[in-house]
Amino acid sequence: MSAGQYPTRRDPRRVIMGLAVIVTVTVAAYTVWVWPRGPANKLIVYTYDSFMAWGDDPLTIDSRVFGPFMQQYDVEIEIVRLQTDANGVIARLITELERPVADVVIGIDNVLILQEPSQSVLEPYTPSNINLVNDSLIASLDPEHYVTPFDFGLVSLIYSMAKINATTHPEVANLTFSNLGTTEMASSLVTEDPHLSSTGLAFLLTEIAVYEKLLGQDWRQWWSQVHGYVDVLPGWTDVWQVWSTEATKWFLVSYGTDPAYSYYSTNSTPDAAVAPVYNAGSHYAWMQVEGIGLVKNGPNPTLAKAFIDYCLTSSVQSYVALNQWMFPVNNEVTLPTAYSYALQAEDVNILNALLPRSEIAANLTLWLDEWDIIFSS
Amino acid sequence: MNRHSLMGHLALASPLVLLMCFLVYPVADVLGQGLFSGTGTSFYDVVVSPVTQRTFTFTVIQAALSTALAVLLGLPGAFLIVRLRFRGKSVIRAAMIIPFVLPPIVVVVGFLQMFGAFGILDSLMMAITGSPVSVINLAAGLPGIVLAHAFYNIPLVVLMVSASLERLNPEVEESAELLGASHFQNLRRIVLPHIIPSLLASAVLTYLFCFTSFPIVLALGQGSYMTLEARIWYAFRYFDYGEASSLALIQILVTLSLAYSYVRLGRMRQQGIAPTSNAKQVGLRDLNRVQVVLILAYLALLAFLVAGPIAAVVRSSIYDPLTRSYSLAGFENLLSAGTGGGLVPLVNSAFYATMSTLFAVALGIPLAFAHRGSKNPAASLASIMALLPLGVSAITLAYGLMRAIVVPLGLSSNPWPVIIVAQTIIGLPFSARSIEIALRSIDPALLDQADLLGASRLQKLFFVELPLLAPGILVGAAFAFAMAIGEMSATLFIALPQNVTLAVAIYQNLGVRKFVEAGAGALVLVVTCLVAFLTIDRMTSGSSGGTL
Amino acid sequence: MSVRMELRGLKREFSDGTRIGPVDLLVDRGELVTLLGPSGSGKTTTLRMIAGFIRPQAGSLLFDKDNVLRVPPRERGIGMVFQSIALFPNMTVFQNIAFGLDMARWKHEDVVYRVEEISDVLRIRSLLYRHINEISGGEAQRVALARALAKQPRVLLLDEPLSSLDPQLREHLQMEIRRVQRSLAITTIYVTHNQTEAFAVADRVAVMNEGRVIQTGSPEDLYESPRNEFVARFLGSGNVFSGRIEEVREHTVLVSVKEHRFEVRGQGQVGARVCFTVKPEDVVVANAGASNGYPAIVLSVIPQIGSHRVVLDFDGTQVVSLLTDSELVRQLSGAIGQRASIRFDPESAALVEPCSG
Repeated sequence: MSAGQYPTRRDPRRVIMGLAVIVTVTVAAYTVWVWPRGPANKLIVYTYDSFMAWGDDPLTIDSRVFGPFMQQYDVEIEIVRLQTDANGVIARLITELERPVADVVIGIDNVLILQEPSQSVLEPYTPSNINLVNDSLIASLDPEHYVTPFDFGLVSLIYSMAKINATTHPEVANLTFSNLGTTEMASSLVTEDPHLSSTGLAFLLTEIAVYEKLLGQDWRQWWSQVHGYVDVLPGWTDVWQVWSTEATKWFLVSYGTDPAYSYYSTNSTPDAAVAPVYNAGSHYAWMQVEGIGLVKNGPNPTLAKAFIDYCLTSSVQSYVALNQWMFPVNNEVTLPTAYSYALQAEDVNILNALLPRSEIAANLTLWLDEWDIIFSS
Repeated sequence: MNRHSLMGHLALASPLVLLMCFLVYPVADVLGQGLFSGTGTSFYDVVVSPVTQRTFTFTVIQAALSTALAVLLGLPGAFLIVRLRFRGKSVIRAAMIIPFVLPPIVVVVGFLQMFGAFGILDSLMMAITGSPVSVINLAAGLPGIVLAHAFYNIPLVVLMVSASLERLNPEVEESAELLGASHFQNLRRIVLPHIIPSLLASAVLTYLFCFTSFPIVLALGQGSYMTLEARIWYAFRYFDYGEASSLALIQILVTLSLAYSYVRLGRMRQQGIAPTSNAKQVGLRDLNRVQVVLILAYLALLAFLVAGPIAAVVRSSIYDPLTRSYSLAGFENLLSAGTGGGLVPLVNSAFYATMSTLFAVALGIPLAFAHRGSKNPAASLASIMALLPLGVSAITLAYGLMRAIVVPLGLSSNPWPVIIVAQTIIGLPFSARSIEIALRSIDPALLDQADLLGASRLQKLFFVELPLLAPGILVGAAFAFAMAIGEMSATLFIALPQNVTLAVAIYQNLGVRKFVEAGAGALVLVVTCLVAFLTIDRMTSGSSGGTL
Repeated sequence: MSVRMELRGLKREFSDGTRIGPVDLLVDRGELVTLLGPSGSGKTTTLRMIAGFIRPQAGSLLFDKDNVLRVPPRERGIGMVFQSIALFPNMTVFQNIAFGLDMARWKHEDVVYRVEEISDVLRIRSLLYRHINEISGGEAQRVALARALAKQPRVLLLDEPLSSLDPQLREHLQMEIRRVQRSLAITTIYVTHNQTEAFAVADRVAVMNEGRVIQTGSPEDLYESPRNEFVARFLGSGNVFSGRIEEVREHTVLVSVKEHRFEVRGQGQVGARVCFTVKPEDVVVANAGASNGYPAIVLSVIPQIGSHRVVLDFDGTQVVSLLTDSELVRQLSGAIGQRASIRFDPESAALVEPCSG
């Protein structure tokens, strides 16, 4: 029998080396593949995951919106959509406080900016073209100019017209919190957790403003009433998901532009309708203003300031409506026709006026704790 | 100390050093900052707060209920897997791993479609009762949370207990039968004492999973139910580092004591029982009608609970609820390389999960070896370190890694190495545990024999130990891979857009109403892990669960 | 090449208080010595000290003239077969046998040559391609032996190598081991707790108890003249009587056991407590009426190859006798529980010391 018929043993060191080579090559290939491209010096903008993600062509939106600025200043702009919402963006900026990478941040809203940590990562800046923005928006968002308004939206109740309508439920035309307090209605509502979602927080503030300021009643009353019936989910995505798949969920808390989006994307009559909160002859809604701000100690402050100015111009603002499904803050921009289905700021009384910034800043933690106590009982 | 034993000590110490750098230091940094810098709520205020106490109570209770349900439903499954002969057993066994890899959002969607109002179960009940309104909604509140946790953990109980049952020498049972023990006595006196350590260990592990559960509780809890982990997340979001750190500390202490008891039980479990290849088995035909009906009823229940949500995932990969039509667009998207395409997340997921699995195994082997000399303090340290990741909330870890590693090293704009670090740490308890158990079942005489035949330490490792550890390594790798590829919390926080993984992409696709894309991604996750586990099941001829 | 191996005062105390040694033993070049003793007597520990897995606290271990205690196991040139056989389950038969050679980085052709050579000696050439789980228990033993011998070790250690096999196979393999050991002339220590096995394979037997070697000698020596009560009981069938010396004669003494007196070969002091043993084949059993016998009760009569084994009760001492007279056996079988009588020649009884009484 010849020696070749029996297997020989491999040298372990060869196996180790082989494995090490494969791993090294793979890692090297991946490293090269994801190595940050383009010039070393570029403007980095941090924002949340769904920034400008709702348009016809979200893949090319950045070059269309910010291309002219890149050409003008001969600089690359990288819009970094972090896999989180605005709170998460601030959290990341806090961890990077010692060595900031980003120059600009977009998406800090009028509640988030009230928190001290948000201000700690930002540098106040007043754009030279601030006159393009309505004063009331600036007042709502941040008079101290840590952030400048970028877009705004009205948070409201939206219902599915396939599930209910004004004939079956006439109260939807003038929906009050007490209408929503019945077992049937409360069970049909999905909203976001105010701890985890700015939309959910806006709805909590809506309710507080209506009860404390309009009705003069204890705001905890309504939540205690609906607790156990209303469905609270972590974020807007989850809420929308449940609302669109479950037949029993008629209402969700979302933006007043939802019907417009529905019309625009299906090119037919919207399947969703807005039901702003009603009280004594008027409709009300909470306004969420999202701002753009300068990162403190960012690498390119001069360029960053020019970028913020640029974001207020109509070259950027004209894209907001159909890509962000929020209203542009530049009042020279004309709204697309689909927006005739959206809830307009003129149609409602803005609740923000009833809840001063200082009051929110002072009470937010307390309100959330009390909401927790109601919901964990 | 000669050069070789120095090398040996270095090899054994290296995982501890790495864990110190990448786990203990970052987490301690966050906790220290939160507890002592005076920002946010103080530890005392957190502990005395009624919200904390309520959260703690609920965390404890829901975990206990979930564990009880998982054990109750899992135990018969373990018996069936071992004792019943049927076709496709290996597929079923492999399918058991699926829940581990599903991102929570997918589980939630699957659950709603299965158990929610107007879900499959509800539609069935409505048809039966003729009711026009929803009859039953099990996908909400406490029942929803407990059911979803059972969905996650029944497989764990089945895999672990069945492995232990397989190790019960049939002769012991047979001799008990000869001695006149009835079926019930046999079960109580022979089988139960044999499986009780593995049963308890799987219960502890299940309890631990449920104790630190977070996305499921958030999604199904309707805002009313919170775990400590969820509150840690809340606190981080509102920049209350004091509260976050206090809660994280409490959670670490509780989970570590549970993890410690798990290790102790695991030690008890290994009392020189070798797996028997010929566990007593019966075919369906050998059973009487009542038994068959009971088994079928149980299988139906299990199929509803475990297979139902999975089936919903499969359907969602080709059915678009918006257009109410079937499409393959999801799979096309997975292969599209551009921005928003599925190829980048697919490659990222595969790369990160493979790398972190490799590291989890490479660290798990020396950890297991260090653990083997179970008397010295380094061994206890090794086992505690290997289990520590189970007690550290993913978000705390992610924060720590960002603060202590990513930013100081200037990795902020290219943080992928740290994603691999995080996923390695999360998979490590599984790989270390499974390798360690495999190591303990190696006959020491084999190593002495190799020694006498002149094998050096390295030769012994390569030609004897590693080949014999292979099944344990493969199973550990499978679990580590599953944990890594399904990981979302830490990855979400560290990743930049170019680092998006499949799990994160699924979440995002659902967010922008790309349902088939999300479904296809989830299906790829499911199939990848199924195939991986099936291969391993073949290679280790079915003894996989035992190494958990 | 084989060596002359000497254990000198090897001693080890364990943390649980167990003590082994001092063990003294000499194994000549090419000799096969069995270590025989009950479980827990320190046989395996002694073997593991020789192999180097347990470090003795005192003493020396000489291979020819070299003390190898400081040499690590893998350099001692020892082949060993473990009780659990310990074949590498991840390898084929060939790979198992070739393991030691591969570790020493032999050339592949040389490995093949040597493996085939040794497998011819053990008659397992046809198994070389098999996987370990494809061979029987007896074949596994041969493979383990071949693996231990492949590198031509200086010493072969066998730790209860046959304990898991059935009696027929065991007997067969005992002969095989003996044959192979003789043909290779390798210095061998064979550990067993089975007297028959020990006697069957050994040149010399070393009896161990409580961590020490009590008596060493050829099987015949040990059987004929056990040095003490333990050896007598362990090797014989337990025919150990104890009493006091009543009278000293020329070559014998008169020992009183309870109210009976026995004449026993040997010397001693009058009044001393002594034990003596009688081998079963020397115990003569007769019917109750026989003259000059001692009364005993028949407890059992068991047929075995070539004889019958009769167990009797003599005043609380169990006495075993081997009988070939079939007529007598027939009578005794019908008289279980009844009286019979026993006697033996003074020549066939031997005093043993020490004696526990």
